[in-house]
Amino acid sequence: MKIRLFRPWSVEHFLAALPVSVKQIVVLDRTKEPGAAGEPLYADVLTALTEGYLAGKSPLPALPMVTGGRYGLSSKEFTPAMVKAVFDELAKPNAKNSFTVGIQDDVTFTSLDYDPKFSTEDDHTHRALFFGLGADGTVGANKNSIKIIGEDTDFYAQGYFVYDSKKSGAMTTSHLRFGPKPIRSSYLISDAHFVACHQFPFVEKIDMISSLRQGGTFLLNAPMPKEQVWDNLPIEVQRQLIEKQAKVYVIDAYGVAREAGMGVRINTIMQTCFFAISGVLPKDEAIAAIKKAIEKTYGKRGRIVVEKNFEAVDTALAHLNLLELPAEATSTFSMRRSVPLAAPDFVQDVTARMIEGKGDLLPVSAFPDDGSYPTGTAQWEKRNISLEIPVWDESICIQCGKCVLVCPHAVIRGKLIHPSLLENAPPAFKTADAKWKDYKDLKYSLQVAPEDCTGCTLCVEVCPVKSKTEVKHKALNMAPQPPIREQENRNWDYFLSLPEFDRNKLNPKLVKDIQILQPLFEFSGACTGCGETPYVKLLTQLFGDRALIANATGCSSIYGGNLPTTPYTTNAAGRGPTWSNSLFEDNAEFGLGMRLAIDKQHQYAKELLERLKDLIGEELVADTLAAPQSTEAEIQAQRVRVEQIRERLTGANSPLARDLKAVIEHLVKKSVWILGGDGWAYDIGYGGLDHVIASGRNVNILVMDTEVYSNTGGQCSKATPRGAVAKFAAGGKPTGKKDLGLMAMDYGTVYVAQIAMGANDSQTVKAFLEAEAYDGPSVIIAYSHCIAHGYDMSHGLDQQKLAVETGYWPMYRYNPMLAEDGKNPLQLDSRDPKTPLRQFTQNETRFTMLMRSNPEAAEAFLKGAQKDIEDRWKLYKHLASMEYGVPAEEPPPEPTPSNPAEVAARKNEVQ
Amino acid sequence: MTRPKVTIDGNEAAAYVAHRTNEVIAIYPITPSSNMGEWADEWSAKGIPNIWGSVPDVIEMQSEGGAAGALHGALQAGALGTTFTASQGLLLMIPNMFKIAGELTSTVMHVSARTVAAHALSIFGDHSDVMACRSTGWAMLCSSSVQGVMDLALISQATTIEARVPILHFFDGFRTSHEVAKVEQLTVDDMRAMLPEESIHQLRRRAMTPDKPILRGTAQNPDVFFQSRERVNPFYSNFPAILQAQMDKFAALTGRQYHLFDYHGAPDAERALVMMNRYFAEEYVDYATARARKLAS
Repeated sequence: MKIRLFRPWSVEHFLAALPVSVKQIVVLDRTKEPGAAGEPLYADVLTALTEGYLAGKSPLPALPMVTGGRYGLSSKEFTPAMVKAVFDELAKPNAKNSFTVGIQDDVTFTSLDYDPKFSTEDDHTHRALFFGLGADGTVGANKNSIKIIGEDTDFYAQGYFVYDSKKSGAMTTSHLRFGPKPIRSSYLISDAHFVACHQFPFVEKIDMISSLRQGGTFLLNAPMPKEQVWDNLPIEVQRQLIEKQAKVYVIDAYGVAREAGMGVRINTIMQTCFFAISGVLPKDEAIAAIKKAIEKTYGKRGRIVVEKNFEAVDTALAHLNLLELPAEATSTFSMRRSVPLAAPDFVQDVTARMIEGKGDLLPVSAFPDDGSYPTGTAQWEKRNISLEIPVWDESICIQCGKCVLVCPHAVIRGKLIHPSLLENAPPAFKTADAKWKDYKDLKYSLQVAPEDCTGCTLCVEVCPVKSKTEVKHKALNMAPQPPIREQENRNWDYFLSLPEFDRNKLNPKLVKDIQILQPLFEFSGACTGCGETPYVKLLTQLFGDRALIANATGCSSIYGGNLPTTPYTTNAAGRGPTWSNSLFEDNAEFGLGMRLAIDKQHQYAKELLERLKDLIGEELVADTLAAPQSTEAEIQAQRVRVEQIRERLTGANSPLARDLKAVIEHLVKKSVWILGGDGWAYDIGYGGLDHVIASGRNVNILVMDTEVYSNTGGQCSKATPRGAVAKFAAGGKPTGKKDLGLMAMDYGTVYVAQIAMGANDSQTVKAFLEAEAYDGPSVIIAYSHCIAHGYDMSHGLDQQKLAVETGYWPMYRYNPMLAEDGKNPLQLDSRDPKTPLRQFTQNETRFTMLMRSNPEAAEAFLKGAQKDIEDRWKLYKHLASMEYGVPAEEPPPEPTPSNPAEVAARKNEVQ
Repeated sequence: MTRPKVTIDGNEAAAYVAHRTNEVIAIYPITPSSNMGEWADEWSAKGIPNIWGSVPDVIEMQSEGGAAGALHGALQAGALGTTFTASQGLLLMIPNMFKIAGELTSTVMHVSARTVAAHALSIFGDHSDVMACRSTGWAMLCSSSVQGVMDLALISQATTIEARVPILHFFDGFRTSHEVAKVEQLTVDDMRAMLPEESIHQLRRRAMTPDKPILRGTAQNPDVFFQSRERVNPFYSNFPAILQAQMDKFAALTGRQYHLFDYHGAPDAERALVMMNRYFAEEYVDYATARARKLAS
């Protein structure tokens, strides 16, 4: 029975709708209420049946047996096989109640067993499965195919599209059904007539053939002559194809695309192949339909584009080949392990399954009970998504470290190495004499992680070195990855095995030195060329070993905390950022809570130290209590003291000593970071952010401002500038950007910095250091270029520069400590805007699309925005030039006696 | 052992135990729970310590949503934390309550139950706020007298630390929160006896720290969310027995015995009344039982 009307619940109608023959009822809820007697629908059904029965109004002769279960939580698949399991369970003498279906629960044994092979699918429905990349147009082509079939034929059509949550190099799976009868199969395809692999590297990584039915068709895009394809398939794939007597078609779609002048656009080619061999439509009819669709889609862009696509369709057919399958599998290699054997057990047993797409098979016991996961897992997932990676020319590199700073994925790193450690270096491992005044006898290496690089080219763009002999040659240059992959892998492993350079010998104020600090945020799933992650990485290089991070929901919580693998990691001592995401709206408060807990436990530890003075020793206690902890060396010294105290407490077994042991780590300084985007900071979380910066507590807030809600697809926020087109502001945002920095400065007690790494990296570094050092609330507003701005992210840093030069993004630091010394706390770090705003806006689609669709409005907005800039700059100049003085010492005013009647009255006030 | 007798209201009774058994207290005013926050603030301002000798940190937030967020953060970083609220305030805490429970975090919040505004606001009492939290995964414990508020506040604190399920301890707004009554005050020794240090240390070991970092609050996909969600089941099935054990321990300590369900009335009754707050009905039941006996004899 299907519930349409859930509330108000009608007992009468519910009972009337049940056949009187019913003796057993099972109620399936798609929610979980831990601790409840039953899930809500189950409880309502029981109430209705009992009520009807007791009142003598039930048409059923007796009270049926009722059980309840949970299914489909968080889009877990629910298939006819599971429905069968539910009914089969009812037939058992002690049918399970409060069961689950769709999972394997080996902890509380709630789950029902089901046969994954059981199928009720109509054989006349053609089922097709496509594996592609987010960027390769597979999903778009499939949506187009559904339209063609749905609109040009009498067939019914259905499509499901599954994406993983990586923002770069994400895999997409398209599940398509076509057939003469209406399609009711509301679940993903597991037994496909047709499986297409649009990306050759998948054959090594994803088990696709297990979803292919006996005698089905497999289409493979392989960038090689057809004769070589078979030998390049792993043994498991060969075996399955032979066993299933599959029809295997291959095409070099990238080759065809190049030939047809389509660049890397393979979508039309693969779509053509699908129609040509799947047999869903007669071939000629299908090809005609594709061409019609091409006319419709590309007609606006001119005849040439249409002709190119037509050519691609025709060439595709000519290059599509059926592969003769040998009788036996002969491959000399296996599918790649999803994680190396060196990975820890949890990564081998749980994470690896998820990476392989087999997470559904993991039982309940595989998971942590309270949602706590190990950090440092992204290093084990080698995604190999870039065909090109940067290659270092050590002969001309000046070792400035800018490439390391801007790399969004921490895949390019610098290291200072003692020459004696290089004896066992792989032959291709490159080094140069260190260009450090104090470390001239050391070697320097700049190494790329070849399988983690996403190919964004920001490192090459930022590289300031140009070869004097070779045009366009820099100290970093992009080169094809496959030929150097293995060699660079060995180099990378060797690079990692070398010890980290002593942090205390480096100057954290210098970008050149920062490149040597180990990043504790690496290989995230952020977009290629992401403008946010370099800031996060920098924060972990500077403070990661003592950082607690509260992360607002958004891009940063997805690339920061989305399973299977996550980027935050630890140093050799096992220290690193500990990270949590609470909600979207409460992140500032969440971080403040962490600060309160740390401060409280710090306070308690200090109190206990005092009380245990005799046991620990007065001197050590006094030193520990008075220890300054503003530099790395001082923090290190405090860690040593804490260890000494621990030692002296070993034998002690008093309650106080035991309590001290439980909180002793809080004697070492901790750094609380509150991270999020502009949607959080300017909009949904602003009330909390404002309260937290008003609290005076020592928290550091990093706002990564992309000027839109990036994670949800680019909707307008109050950080969106005047005239920018965003979702929810399709006609251009009519009002100016909220000045969050100015609002924060208004308190006078908040450290505020507005930064843009691409415009001035040392100002960025200064801001981070000052914010962390300030013993009060700090806000850093960081300009973050984003794909939502609509341009090639390799120009992200150039756009940041323009943003600053035009005054669109003024840089400044407001440090309340300066006011204490009688100085103006506001320092402007950018020059008077001289460049017209237009030079910045003309490069970004978010501005230019209005220029095309509504030029008048766009011009008016631009004029308004230009005036905004000028007015704001005048205001900042004024604020920055005000005279400050040291306030004269004044006796504190007498406290006003509070009126008891007033206090009493206030107590009864109503909110 | 003799314990002091004090004449206080329900809010003070809850705040008394909450303040002495916690370290971080996030507050926000809402009738009829504001007094609990006020008491906590006043005691900390006066330097009154908790049972471990340290003065709790009380912080007013900008909304109950903020108070719940700060509480969540404090709990994640290993502090013993609490908050007080009612009505719409409790509703604003719901998003965080799901997360706090899902992460098996020990905490008690004290709620003076109040009407949720519908066609009109009302500051007075019913359970519409508490009932709106049924799906959050919090255990819910109801007390119905000023003494009960103080006792169950402590029993809740002890239970949540052992059972790892957070507890919403509630009592009727105004009727109980503002009822002034003479009660036996629990002592520091009582509270220490109910909260053994080892359980507190265990809670600290689960805290987030960069010295031994973990990741909490991940984003999960359809492949694993459902299984992970069922992972908490044992904590809920074990909860009733843990609570009863704590109630028994409390009885041994104070002589006041509580049960998960407390039946009051004739053992051979044929008609039973079930409700959250039995005190209203007890007087009548006693009266009616006596009358029935009289008639029968």
